[in-house]
Amino acid sequence: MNRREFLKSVCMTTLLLGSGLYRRALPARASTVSSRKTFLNLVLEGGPDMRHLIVPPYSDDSASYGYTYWSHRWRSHEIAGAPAAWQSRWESDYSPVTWQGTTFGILNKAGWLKEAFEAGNVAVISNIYASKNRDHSHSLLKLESGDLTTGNNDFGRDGWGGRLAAVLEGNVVSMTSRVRLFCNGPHPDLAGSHDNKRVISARDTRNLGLYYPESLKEDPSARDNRAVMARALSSYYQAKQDEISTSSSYYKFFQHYTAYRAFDEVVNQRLADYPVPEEILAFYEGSQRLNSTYFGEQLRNVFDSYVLSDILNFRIGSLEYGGWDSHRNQATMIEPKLADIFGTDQGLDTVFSILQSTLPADYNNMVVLIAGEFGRQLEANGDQGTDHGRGNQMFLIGPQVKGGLYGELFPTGEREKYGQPGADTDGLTSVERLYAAIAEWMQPGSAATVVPDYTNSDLESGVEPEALFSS
Amino acid sequence: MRVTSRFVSVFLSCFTGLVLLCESGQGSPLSDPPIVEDESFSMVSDEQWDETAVRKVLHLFAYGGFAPDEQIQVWADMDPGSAIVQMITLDTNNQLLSPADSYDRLSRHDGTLTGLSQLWSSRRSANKMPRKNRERFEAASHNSPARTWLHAVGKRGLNPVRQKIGFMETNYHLVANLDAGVFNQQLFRYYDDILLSLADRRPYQDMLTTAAASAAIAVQYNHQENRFVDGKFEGNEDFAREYHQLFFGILGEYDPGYHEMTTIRGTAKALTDMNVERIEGWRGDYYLSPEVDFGTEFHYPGSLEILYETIEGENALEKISNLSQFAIEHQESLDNLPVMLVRFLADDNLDDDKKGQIRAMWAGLDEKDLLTFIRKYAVSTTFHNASRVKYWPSIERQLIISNLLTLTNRESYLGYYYPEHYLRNDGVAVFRPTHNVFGQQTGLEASDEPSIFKESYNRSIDGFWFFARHHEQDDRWEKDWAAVIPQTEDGSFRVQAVGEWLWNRFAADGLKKFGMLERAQVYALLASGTDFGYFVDASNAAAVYSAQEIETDPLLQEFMQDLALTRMNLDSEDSEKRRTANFRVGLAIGFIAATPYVFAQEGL
Repeated sequence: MNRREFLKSVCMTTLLLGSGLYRRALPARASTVSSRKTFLNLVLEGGPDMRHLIVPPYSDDSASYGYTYWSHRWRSHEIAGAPAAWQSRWESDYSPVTWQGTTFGILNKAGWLKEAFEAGNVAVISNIYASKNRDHSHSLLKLESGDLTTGNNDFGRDGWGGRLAAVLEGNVVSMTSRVRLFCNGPHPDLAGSHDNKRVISARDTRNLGLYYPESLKEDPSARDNRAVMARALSSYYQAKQDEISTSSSYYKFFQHYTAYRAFDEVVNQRLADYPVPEEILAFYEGSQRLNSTYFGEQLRNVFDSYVLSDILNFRIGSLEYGGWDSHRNQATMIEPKLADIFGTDQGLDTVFSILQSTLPADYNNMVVLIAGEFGRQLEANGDQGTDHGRGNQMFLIGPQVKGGLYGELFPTGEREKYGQPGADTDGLTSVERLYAAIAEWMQPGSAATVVPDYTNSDLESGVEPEALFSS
Repeated sequence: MRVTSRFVSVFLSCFTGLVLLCESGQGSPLSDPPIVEDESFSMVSDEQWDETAVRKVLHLFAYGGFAPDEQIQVWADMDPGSAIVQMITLDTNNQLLSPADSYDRLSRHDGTLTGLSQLWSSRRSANKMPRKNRERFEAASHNSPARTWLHAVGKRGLNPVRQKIGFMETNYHLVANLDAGVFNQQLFRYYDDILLSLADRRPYQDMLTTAAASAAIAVQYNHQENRFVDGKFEGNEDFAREYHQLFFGILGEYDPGYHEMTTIRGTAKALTDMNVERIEGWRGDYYLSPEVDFGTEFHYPGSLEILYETIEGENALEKISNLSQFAIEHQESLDNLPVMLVRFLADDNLDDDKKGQIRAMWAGLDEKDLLTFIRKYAVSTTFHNASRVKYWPSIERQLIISNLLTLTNRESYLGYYYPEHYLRNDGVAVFRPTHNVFGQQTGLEASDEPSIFKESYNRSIDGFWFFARHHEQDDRWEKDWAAVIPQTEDGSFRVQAVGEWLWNRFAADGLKKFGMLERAQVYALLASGTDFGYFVDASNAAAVYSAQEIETDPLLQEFMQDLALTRMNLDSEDSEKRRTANFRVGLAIGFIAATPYVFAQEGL
């Protein structure tokens, strides 16, 4: 029995995970927040080659896009430079999908993505860009700030997730090992700076509190050394937080203290009733470990954030998956990552399934954006990889997403660019347009605040960002 | 003709007309002329150059340093331009900043990372590393470069500024990542070659050539496989881009199309036929050579156009060396590179004014000498500036605390304050940068991540022993804070003086943030071994007192006065009393280490 079958059987019989335990506890939490929309932002750092995930069908017609692609890309697929090998690769490792007359293939290792696309829950936005300078660091700043005028040293600025959270009066839950710039909220006084009062760091939701000695729980006046140090620091921070200026360089540390103290007890109490689902636990501790156990841990944080959504005032989540800079051995390098995220019974499939069965109201109101800072060049390089490009594809996934292709998947005229030095996919749609659409979906009227200049940004002819959501 | 990187240094010296100097002896930076103000920068005034200013420099550039208080005062009394050339040097040793410890006399040994790895893994009598740990310093041992480096930072007799600059270059600017295919042997060589070049005061662009032409970088980006065959380039352009972007700060904004199609592609062709030999080990293992064999057979023949210049060279080394001379003078590099270096080192709050000052300082150097640039910056009003804020990355914060907790090299060898475990808890590792080739965790990231704060906070409670350890029977060791804490005029150790001394040692702010709330807890811990709440009322120990209450409530004021004047038994003949006093110093340090004021440094 695979995990999917296991999950289905569990749901049917309401025996174990996602049934008795969760169903008993959930209504009380869900009743207060079930209609709130939530947004998860998954950053693929390194410049993911989505032309490897979604490919044109092989054709032996040398004038076709498919033939051109395979004849220039076989190296990055780590196969032989012969048409038979290209055809075999296409037939063996990709599954064809047709949408409104356009046929393409999705990597079999991303089986869930194909399934979700065919179910109408995946929007593939093509020819989109966050940056045109092909510099990782600067491009990430632009991607996460949602402001394409961001300078290459603007590391302290706010992010579009933080601005959206401020509009929503909700919180960004950072599920990564560091708070990404995406999460940074706008600073009320200091231009170019940020204020993270709406950011909750949950790199490990199962260990969210400050240390509190057992002796103090029994006796507030305990005299052992741990009790002494805990009391010294606790009373210090409690007294000091009323004195410290919000413009102080040190203010953020008092924010950290306050946030932990606000959450630790109540979070631990709630989570005590919600063990980590076995399928997710297996991603980072068990026999079904993902290639990135770190991503598995983030998926646990996703699940927990929904369980805790009322406590955390959870509206936005920040995730990451790094290591996409595939200058060499691209297939070997990125396919395991694609499988972790998009594979059947893997990351997103499992989390979506568990949320659908255990927290259906949350599931129905969630959307995930998967994006990297730039794309890669059309032609494979001589090292079985691809070098930096600009335009790329991004994926918006969720029950309320109106699935389909947005932007020309294999643009007219692109075929002629194969073989030209440095040629890449043109960036025709600014990422600001996509962010504005997400902001509007989260809260109508918010786009102008979250992405101030989006109306002046690029938009590919025929693309209607407002059509990305069905409701 | 084939050339190996063994000859790179010689080549570069010839190229620039310089002669290689032995690291010891000749050209000692201690004999350098003072830094004097010129039109490129404004020097901090003598009034502002005081003990606090000196300590700020030491925290930032020397992980706290090991200079005794007397030396710090000497520097504070000197003019800043004279003091800074004594404080900031790049040789393997600096006796004023890090006096030799008679326990190991490290300053007599080869202080390169390679030399230290060899010493600490050896059976030599001079090796004071505990026998059980020696194997872990062998070149091939997992993580030995990081282990060697962490110990090097914490040893008296070695120069911590050298390690600081080496760390900045190899972990932030010119990253070589052990998780990206680089072998230990290559990393050791890479680190030492960079510092050899900088310590010898070669032009900065020559150091960048040394790094760019290294085996570590060739393997990391895999341009060791790049070839020019049958009139066609075969390989990747990964490092061709990063050479400009990461090494020189040239992003291509001068002409994006030209940069993409001509500069990067030309640079990729320049980086051809760089061969790194596989060396078989006797255990059936292998490693890749720390040297590059620069061939010509598969190297691009003839000249290349890059950055609008004609770049000549018979092999990759020659072309890259020639290119570096132009790249360092490129306007984008002049604008970005010095700002990048200061951002890595010292300031997370750079505004346009400060960026302009930093660029002027860099531009004012006829020859781009990193040491002179850093010295100028460290005594400039750009550094000693109210708007400067440096949030400590985890590695720097932990090392400053460890160094200032460690009073002798013996303590360091015993490993009581060795920080690797705590760095792991913070998710960072030396020579394995968080962002791969884009560098380590930044200070901003560390400060914005609450779990980093939490780890520190929790350690001061659950791991208080780290700070408060006072004796170990098996090691026949006892903590002796009395050896470094100054006595008051009556020859005693009083709580207020001890508390202020500790605060200045760890926070280095001239007591600016040592307010009533901080004093209350530090005094109580030093005087009684308890927190202030317990000291005031043991039956209501959890009570929270505001600063205003402590300042105005007569009873609390009285408590504070009593605490401040309490005598500590740090030098008592009674071992139990002495150990208790040292233990309490440790608790106070544990408290200070969990306050916000050890997470960042302000300019003034």
